[in-house]
Amino acid sequence: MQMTMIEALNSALALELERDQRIVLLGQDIGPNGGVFRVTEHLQRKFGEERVFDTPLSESAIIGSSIGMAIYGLRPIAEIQFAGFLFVCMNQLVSQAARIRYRSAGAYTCPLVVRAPYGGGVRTPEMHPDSLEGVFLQTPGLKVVIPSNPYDAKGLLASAVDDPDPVLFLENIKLYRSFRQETPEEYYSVPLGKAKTVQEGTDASIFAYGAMVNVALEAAKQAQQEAGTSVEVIDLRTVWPLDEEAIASSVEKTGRAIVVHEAPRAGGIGAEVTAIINEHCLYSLLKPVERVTGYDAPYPVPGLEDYYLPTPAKVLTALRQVMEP
Amino acid sequence: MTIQQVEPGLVPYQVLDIEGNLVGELPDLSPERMLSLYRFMQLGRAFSNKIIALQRQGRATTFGSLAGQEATAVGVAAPLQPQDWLTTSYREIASLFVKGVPVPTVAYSFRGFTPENWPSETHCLPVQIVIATQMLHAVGLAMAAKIAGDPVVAVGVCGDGATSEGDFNEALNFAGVYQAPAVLVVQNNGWAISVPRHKQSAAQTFATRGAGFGVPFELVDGNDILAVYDSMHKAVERARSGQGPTLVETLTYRIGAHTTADDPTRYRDPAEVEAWRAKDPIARFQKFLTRRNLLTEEHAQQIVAEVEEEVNEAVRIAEAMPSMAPDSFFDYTTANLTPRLQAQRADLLRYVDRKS
Amino acid sequence: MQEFKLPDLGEGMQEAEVVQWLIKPGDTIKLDQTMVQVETDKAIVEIPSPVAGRVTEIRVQDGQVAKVGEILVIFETPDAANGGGSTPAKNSGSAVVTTEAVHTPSPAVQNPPAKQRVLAAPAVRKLAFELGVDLEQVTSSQPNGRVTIDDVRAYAGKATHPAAGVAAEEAEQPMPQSGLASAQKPEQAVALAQDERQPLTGLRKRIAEHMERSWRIIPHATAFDEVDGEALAALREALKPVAEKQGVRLTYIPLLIKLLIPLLKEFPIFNASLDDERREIVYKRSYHVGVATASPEGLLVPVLRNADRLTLLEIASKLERLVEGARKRTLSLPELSGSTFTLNNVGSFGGSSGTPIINHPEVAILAVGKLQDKAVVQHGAVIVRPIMPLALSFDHRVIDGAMAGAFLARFKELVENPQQLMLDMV
Repeated sequence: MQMTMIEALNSALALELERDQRIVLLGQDIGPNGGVFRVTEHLQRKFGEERVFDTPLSESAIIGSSIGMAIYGLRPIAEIQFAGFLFVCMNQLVSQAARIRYRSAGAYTCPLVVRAPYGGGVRTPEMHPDSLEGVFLQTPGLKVVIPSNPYDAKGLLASAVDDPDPVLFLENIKLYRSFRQETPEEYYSVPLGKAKTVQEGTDASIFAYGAMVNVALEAAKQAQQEAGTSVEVIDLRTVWPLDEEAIASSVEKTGRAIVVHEAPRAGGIGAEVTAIINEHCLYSLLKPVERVTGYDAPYPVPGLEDYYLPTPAKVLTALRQVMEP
Repeated sequence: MTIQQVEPGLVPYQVLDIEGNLVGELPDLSPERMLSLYRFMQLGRAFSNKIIALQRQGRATTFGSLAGQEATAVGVAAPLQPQDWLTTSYREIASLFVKGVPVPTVAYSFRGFTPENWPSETHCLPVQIVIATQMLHAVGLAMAAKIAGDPVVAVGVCGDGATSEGDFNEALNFAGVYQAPAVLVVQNNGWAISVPRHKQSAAQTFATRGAGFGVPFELVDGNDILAVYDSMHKAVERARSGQGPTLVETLTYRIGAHTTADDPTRYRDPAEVEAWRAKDPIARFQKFLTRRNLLTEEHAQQIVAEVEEEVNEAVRIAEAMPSMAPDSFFDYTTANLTPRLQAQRADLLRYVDRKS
Repeated sequence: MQEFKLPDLGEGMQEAEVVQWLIKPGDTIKLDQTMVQVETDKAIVEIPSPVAGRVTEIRVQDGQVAKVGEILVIFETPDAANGGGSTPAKNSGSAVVTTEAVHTPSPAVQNPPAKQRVLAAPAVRKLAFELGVDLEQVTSSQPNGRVTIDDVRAYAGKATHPAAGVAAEEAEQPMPQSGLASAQKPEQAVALAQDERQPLTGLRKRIAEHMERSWRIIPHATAFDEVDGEALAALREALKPVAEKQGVRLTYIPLLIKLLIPLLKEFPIFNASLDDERREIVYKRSYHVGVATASPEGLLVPVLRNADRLTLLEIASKLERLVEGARKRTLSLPELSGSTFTLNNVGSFGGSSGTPIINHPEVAILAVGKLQDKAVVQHGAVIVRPIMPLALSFDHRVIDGAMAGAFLARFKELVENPQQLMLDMV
């Protein structure tokens, strides 16, 4: 069935609520309103207020109480209204949820999924479009997943729910409704920690995730037309932990690497991928790794955001750069 | 001079006055149970003194003294059933013993390691260092119990300083909104390191904050074990029977330093400390028990000697337990190790002399 | 006798001043009895006694400063070894941490100070190293002065015509395989006026080092045998056309590899490694089969990873690609390392037998010779059978003759009865 990412996520959540009585959904405006992006539409009506419920406006409490529920034995899926507001509950997410297993030497664990929309290009106000995934590279115990399409979104969410440790599931706002894709109605899962080769190639590897996968594919197409460049595009899907094997084998094949992400450049996923390439396959590199990213400045006002974000043109420049001898 | 403020019209609940005379209704406790409470209080004190001594000998990590707060520590846990949950800070250590966590296990953690055999069935979360966060965990546990339909209650304990954190207030709010079967306890010992009670909040009591969140509240003499027990018992059973949460504030005093790294003579008036020593919770209860012919002087001394030996034995056991392996933190990061983490672990092990 | 040293009382303290001793030498002291007051820059702290016993000596007096770790006082305890009260355990059980890693770090690279470094990407440098090319001699084809892969190859191509005097060969391929001490001696060319010297560089140098190491460390023993190849030949004939339809060329080696895998599982010691430093046998849980292959510059051993999880066709097609890659020198490092057992097809250039040299740190290597008709005795009569010679070199430190014999016997059984593979097929 053709589904948008919203529909795919809604389907995933409904299937989870159906198959596992331990699952509860909580967050602001997720009940009768169905979530500000309608991801939880109709779920309260279908499964009841005890399993799908609205919370007061308290990010820290949403996560903190979810931790208690998870330790008790439920499987909460908490929604934070926008990823930018994760900063408000960092303490509960990072010092608590991500560390419960560690702190108790495994006596208590926290199987929690935190969903949050992120991403630019849709004219949202301050702190709504921010990409925070780089911050979570230094928070051991937490996994971070960012799907780029409806099929993966549904399957990855299933795996996230299954994971015995906390997972931060970031949903790109621009992708929510931008296209439909054939997605099974029944339950299935896509494994965490595994990247996907969206397009095979031999001359250069582009590593991207979220909305940047399509940006990469567009640039790859143009490079192919303009210079016959054979570009491999890899959708990382899980940005922590990264699929290091996939990264290394692609670079070993092509010798050229580009990383694309909306988030600021410093200390981001691009930096980590570059370090991984350095460690695993430096001697395969024919050119330095290129990073096409947001700038190291706060995400700009809606009127300027198009200049901030990576575009096919910027990625194409990077491709030309790496293809030069 | 007492630094505890009290709302005009709000009188702290008391069963025994500071001389151990019965001034309220005696809760329904057998003599054996009362002696057990007394013993736990002495155990808490002995444990606290011992860990401080060990720290001074370089054998234990930073520790926060329990001195003077034994009645609250024991009283918050005593009315709980095995299935009930307890989330505490670092100053209610005796509550863990009441809930059944073995003394050597707790002692081991002060060697600077994590016990790898924490009895999860005691439903006690590990001691929380990040202030007030545990109050939300307690509320979450209670919410889950309610969703699951279990007759389970969650108790969260924090200090006066914690009431200023967002998490404390958010926890109260959630407790009220969801009518969670939780009891949130503020152990008000008058000091948050060197910041006195009156600088922590302009409100006269913390108890009345419950009203702001629609949560019933109690103010209790925290050095009166019977009053603490009774308040907690009622609040716990109220929660268990579906009548929702309660906020309990216990008035007590931190006789010792904030931790072994603190010197309270820099900011406290010694006269104030002496005044509170006169309200010692163990002495008060002992007087009561003696007057009731439930405890003799000899028996009391015997109990003190027993708990000291129990603590010394627990320390012996803890010091004989193997140290955590240098790479053990890899075991508890996530359920399964990625190849990257396996490689990092192997890297660490290259630097460890395994023969020692 | 028990010494008590000034502990770190918290938060990175370095030293403390003794304010007042509350005990003196000769005193009897109880466990946890307050014995001294010291002043740190945070506070005055009382230290209780760690033992019950007698005070024999006070080392730091009132008013003096002691450093953390310095002995403050010495006690005599009733039972010195096991101590009355809780005596302090050793240094809170922290493992001794050595600051040196066990492995030696990679060799430092010395650059001649005044010279400009050659501009070349890591992949280019690696190829230059392998080909024994000095990057500084290579002319860059680029306006920016960077040396490219093609530049290096071009340079290497010009330099591969050594003067006369090198050993001539009779087969179509050059000689080198896993150091086969074979009966085929290199023919000497016509005597020259003077001897030519050629330094060992690049791949040849690395091969030489590897062989030296293998031979020096591993006590080699070789078991020679022969296997009847009729069933194998028949199987290959039957499968060849089917494989070709799928675009795969099926030689004997993929079949032999398939027959080898169950053998390595039955005889795990052959798929192991001896850790020379720790003196431990490491039984490998993966099956990565190295296949010795000739390249223009010398012997390479491309590795078929996880051979136990590949079908026959997958083995054949991967092998084709690996061998091609080896010849063209386009294989990457992971494809050239990590094997757990090596196979050497000396029959591919007409060889029959010899002592193969083990690919250290493996413990065995199997050389298979050319399948050809031979005269054998069966039931008292001389008949002609297709025979394939086998030579199994093994590390005699961990494998004995009997085990090697059993291995070869079982291998023969499988090669002569390949249908046995069906018994274990899932």
